[in-house]
Amino acid sequence: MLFQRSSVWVLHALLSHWWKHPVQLSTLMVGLVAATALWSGVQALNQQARMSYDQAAQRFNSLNQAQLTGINQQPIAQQDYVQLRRLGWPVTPLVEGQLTTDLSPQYSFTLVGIEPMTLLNTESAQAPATGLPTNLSLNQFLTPPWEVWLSARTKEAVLQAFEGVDTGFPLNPLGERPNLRVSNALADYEMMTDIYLAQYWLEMDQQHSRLLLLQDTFAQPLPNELSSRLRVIIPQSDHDISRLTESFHLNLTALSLLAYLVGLLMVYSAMHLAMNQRRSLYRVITACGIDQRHLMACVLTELLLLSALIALPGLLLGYWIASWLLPDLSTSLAGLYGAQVDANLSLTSRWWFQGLMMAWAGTLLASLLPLLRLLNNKPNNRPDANIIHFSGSVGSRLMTLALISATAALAVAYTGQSLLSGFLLLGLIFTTAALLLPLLVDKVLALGQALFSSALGQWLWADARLQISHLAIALIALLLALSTSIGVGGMVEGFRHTFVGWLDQRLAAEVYVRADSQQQADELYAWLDQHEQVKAILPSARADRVLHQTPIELRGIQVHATYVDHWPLLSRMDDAWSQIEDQGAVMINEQLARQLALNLGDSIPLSTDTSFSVVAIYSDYGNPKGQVMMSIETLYQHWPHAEQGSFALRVDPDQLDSLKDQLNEHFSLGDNQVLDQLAVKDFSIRLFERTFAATRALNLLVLGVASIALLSSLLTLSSLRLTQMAPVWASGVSRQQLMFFELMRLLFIALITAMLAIPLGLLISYCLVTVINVRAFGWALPWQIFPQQWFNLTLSALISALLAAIIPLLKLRFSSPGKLLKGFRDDQ
Amino acid sequence: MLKATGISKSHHTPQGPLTLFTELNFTLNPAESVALMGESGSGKSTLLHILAGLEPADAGNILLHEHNLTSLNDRQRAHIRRDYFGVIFQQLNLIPSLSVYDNLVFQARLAQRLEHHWLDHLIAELGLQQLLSRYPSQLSGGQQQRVAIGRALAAKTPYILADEPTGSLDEINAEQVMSLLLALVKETGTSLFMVTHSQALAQRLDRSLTLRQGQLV
Ligand SMILES: Nc1ncnc2c1ncn2[C@@H]1O[C@H](COP(=O)(O)OP(=O)(O)O)[C@@H](O)[C@H]1O
Ligand SMILES: [Mg+2]
Repeated sequence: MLFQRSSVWVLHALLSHWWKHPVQLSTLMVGLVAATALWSGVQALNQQARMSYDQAAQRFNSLNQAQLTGINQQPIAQQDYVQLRRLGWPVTPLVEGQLTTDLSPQYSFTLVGIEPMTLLNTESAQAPATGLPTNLSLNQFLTPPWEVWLSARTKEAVLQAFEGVDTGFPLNPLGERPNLRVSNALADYEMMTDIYLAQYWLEMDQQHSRLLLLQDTFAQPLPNELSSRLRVIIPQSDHDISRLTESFHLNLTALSLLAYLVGLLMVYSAMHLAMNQRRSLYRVITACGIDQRHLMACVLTELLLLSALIALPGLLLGYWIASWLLPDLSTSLAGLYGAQVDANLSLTSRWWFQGLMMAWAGTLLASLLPLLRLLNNKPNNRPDANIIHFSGSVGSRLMTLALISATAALAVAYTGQSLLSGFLLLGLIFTTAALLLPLLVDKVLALGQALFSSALGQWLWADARLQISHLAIALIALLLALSTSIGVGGMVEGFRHTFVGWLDQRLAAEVYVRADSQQQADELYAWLDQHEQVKAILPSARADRVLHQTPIELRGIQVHATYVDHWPLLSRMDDAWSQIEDQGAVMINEQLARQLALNLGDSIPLSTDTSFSVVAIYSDYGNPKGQVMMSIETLYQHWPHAEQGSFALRVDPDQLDSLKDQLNEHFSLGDNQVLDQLAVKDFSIRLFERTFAATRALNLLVLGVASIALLSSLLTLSSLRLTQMAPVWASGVSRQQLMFFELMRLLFIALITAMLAIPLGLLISYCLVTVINVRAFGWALPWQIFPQQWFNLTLSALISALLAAIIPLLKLRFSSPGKLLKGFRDDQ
Repeated sequence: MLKATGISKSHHTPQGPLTLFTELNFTLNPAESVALMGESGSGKSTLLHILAGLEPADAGNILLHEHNLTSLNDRQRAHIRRDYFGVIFQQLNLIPSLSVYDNLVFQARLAQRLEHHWLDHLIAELGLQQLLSRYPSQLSGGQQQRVAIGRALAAKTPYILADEPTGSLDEINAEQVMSLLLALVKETGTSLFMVTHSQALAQRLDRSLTLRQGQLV
C-alpha cells in the first residue's frame, strides 16, 4: 500500500537533490564508505583470524595440549599405552604421519589416526578439541571399510592426486577403498581416520606417535620403567603469548568502531544539511498532494537505497583493507600460534550482509534527528540559515547533556568491573568531550572577541564564532581522531617501551638449554660445567598446580645475580631475594596477585602443610596463567616430582656461537631445545611491531577520514561564506586580506581542537592502560606520556586544516565580484 | 464547490494562544475567482493552508463536492489536494534540484493526469519553451512564478489557491504574471482563491473579501 506510482516521482525529486549538491553527496559517500569499509574490513580480519584459531585449536598439535611423547622422537609402543591406561592415566593415542603420493605433482597429506573411544569417552572438561565432526557414526568409523575424513578442499585435491578415489586411493587391509567424508572442522591437507587404518598405511603397527593427556591437571609421576621411554609435556605457559592476539583484536575492534563513528559524524553532517536545504522541497511536495507519512516513507526508502548503493564500494574497500593488513596479521599469528593463515580472504555471505546492515543502521542513526525534525515540518516554516549560537539555550542544553554524560562516566568508572563497562566508560568520555567541544571553542573565541575591540577584530572573532555551528561536527570528528591517536599511540608506545625493557630483564641469560630427560640433563650439566666460556649454569624446574580451580605454574630457580639484578619486579620487600633463597618465600606474577588480591607479606596456600610468604610481585606480560616463583630447592623440597626445566647459561656473547656449535656436536638437541636470547628477543619485538602495525594503519585512516570531514564541511560552507564576507569586502577589505583572515581563523580553530585533544587523549590512554588492559588481560602497563607524539599530531591537525582550506580559499580568490555581489541581490 | 463553515483557528505562541478567526464561513463556487485581502498577520495564509488541507482547523467543516475535508486523515487530504488543488506560494515554489520541465509536470505526474497537448499549450502560453532544461536557481523571480503557475495548471485541478503569488515580484513582472494566471484560469474554468495586497488586482477578480479581526467582510 505504501508503494504507489507517485512514490517514483517523489523519489525522483528527493534523489535529484544529491546530484545538485555533489559536495553533500560526497560527504555522505566518504562518511559512509569510511564507516562501512573500516568496520567491515576489521570484521573480515577478525573473522579470518578466528577461523584460523579454530583450525589451529582443532588440530591435535595445538601448543596448549598436555601430552606424552617418546624420548628422542621414538614412537610409543602399544604395551606402554596399555600399561598407562591400566594405571588410570587419562590418555588417548594418536598416530600421525605424511601420506605422500608417488604421482607428480607430489601431494603430501597429514594423516592422523585417532582412537575415538578413549578420545570421546572422557568426562573431563578439558578434553582436547578433536576436529571430530558431530555427525560421526562410531560404527562406520571403526569398522571396514572405514572412513577417511577430510576438508572439502582436501577432497578435491585427493580426487585430483589419485585420479579419482576408485583408482589410486590407498586400500585398507581388506583390499577395499575407505569411504571419504567431508568435515569443515579439519585443516586443509589433513586426513583423519581410525587409528588401525592409519597404523596400517603408515606402517606403524602396534605403535603410536604420541599420547594426548586429557586432563591438564593430571599430575602423577610416570612409573619408573616408563620414565626412561616417555616424557610428559605440560604446555609451557612461559611461551604462551596467545593473549596478545586478544589484545590485538580488541584494539582493532575498538578502533574500527571509532572509525565507524567518525564516518557517521560525516553522514550526520551531510544529512542534517540536506534535510535543512530540502525544507522548501518538502513543502512543495506536500502542497502537491503527498501526505507526511508517505513523504517520510519515501525519504526512508531514499536513505536505504542510497546507503545500500554506497555501502557496496565501502564493503569492497573493506575487503581491500583487510587483505592489505592480512600479511601483518598472519605473521603475528604464525609467530604466536604457529598457525598458517590463508593469504586469501574467504568471506561469508554473512559478512556482506552484516556490512550492509551496519551501513543501514548507521545511516538511520545519523539521520534520526534530521528525520524527526522533518516530521515537525509546518507549511509556514521557512528554511532557516541554521546558525546556532552556543552562548544561548543550545549551549546550556549541551552543557546539561555533557554533565549527565560526565556523571555517568564517573559512575561507570567507580562501579564498573567488566571489560564492557570499560568500553562504556571510553564511550561516555568521548560523548562528554564531543558535547563540550563546541562550547569550549566558543568560549575561547568569545574571549578573543572581548580582547580585540577594533571593528575588524570584532568581526573576525564574531565571525569565527558563527562558523562553529557549521564546523562543529567536523571538529568533533577531528577531536575524536586526534585524541584516539594520542590515546592509542601512547598505549602502543608505552607498551613497546615496557615490553622491550621487560624482555631485557626476563631474558637476562644469554642461552637457554632444555634437556629431554633427567639423564640428558645430568650429561649436559657435566659437560657445561667443564667449559670455561660458561660463566654460570642456572638450573630450573617446574610443576603445575591447581589453585582455586585455576591452573597455575610453579617455577623453581637458582637465586643468582642474573635474576637479582634483572628480574622485572613491580614491588618487593627489601630482602626479597634472600628470603626466597633462605626462607622458602615466593614471588608471584601480577596476574596472580590481582586475581587472588594478594599483597606483599600475604601468604599463598600452595600446600596444606606449609604457607608461602609473598615477598615480591613481578610483571609477566602476555602470560594468561598465574605463576609462582621460588628457589629450586624449595620447589623440590615440597614437590619432589617437579619436572626438570631448562638451564639458563651465562656466556660471553663472543663465544656464544662456538658454544652452540659444540653443544650441537655433542648432543643431538632439537631446534627448540637451545634458545638464544637475542633470537628470542628479536623474534618477540618483530612480532610486537607487526601486531600493532594494523593498529597504526587504522589510526592513520581515522585521522584521514576526519580531515576529509573537515574539508567537506569547509566546502559546504564556502558558498555561504561568500555572502557572509561580501559586506566586509564591500566595506573595503581586500580579498587577499579576507583569505588570510579566513586561513588564520581556521588554523586557530584547529589548534584549539588539537589542544583539547591532548588532555582527552591522555585520559583515554590512561583508561586503556589502567582499565581496559587490566580487565582484558589481568596486567596493567605503566602509564607513560610521549610529548613528541602530541607535537606531531598538533602539526598534522594544522596540516589537515590547511589542506582542507585550500579549495575554499581558491574559490574565494577566484570568485568574480559578481558572485560576491549576488548576496546583496537576492535574499534566497 | 468548496464550502467552509464555522472555521476556527488559533495558534499556540509563547505569549499564549493567538486566535486568528472563529466561526468563519466561506464559499468558493466553480469557475469563480475570489481575492482575499487583509493586514499582514491577520491569518490569510493560515486560512489558505486550512482550505488546502495543509493545516488542520480547530473547528468547522470544509466541504469539497462530496468530501468533508475535516473528517479525513492526512493521507486522504493529501490525495484530495493532489486531485483538486493547485497551490502557489509567494516564493520557493519550485523543487530546486529538478529542472523546469520536471517541476512543471510534478503534480500532474503524482495525480497521473499528464496531458501532453495541454502541457505544450501551457508552456507556450507561459513562454517557458526556452527554459525547460534549466534549474530554478537559473531563473528570475518572475520566471519562477510562471513555472509555479504552470505546475498548478498542468495538473488540471479544479481549484487554484494562490498566496500572494506576485508578492515578491516587481510591478511590471507582477502584472505580466498575474495577467497570464487570470487568462489561463478563465480559459480553463478553474476556480481561483488568491491572497493579495493589491486593491487593483483584487478588483480584477469576481469577488473580493477582507479578513479583519477574525471575520470575512
Ligand atoms: N505555526 C505557527 N505557530 C504559531 N504562530 C503562527 C504559526 N503560523 C503562523 N502564526 C502566526 O499567526 C499569525 C497569522 O499568520 P499568517 O496566516 O501567515 O498571516 P498572513 O498570511 O495574514 O500575514 C501571525 O501572527 C503568525 O505569526
Ligand atoms: Mg501570508
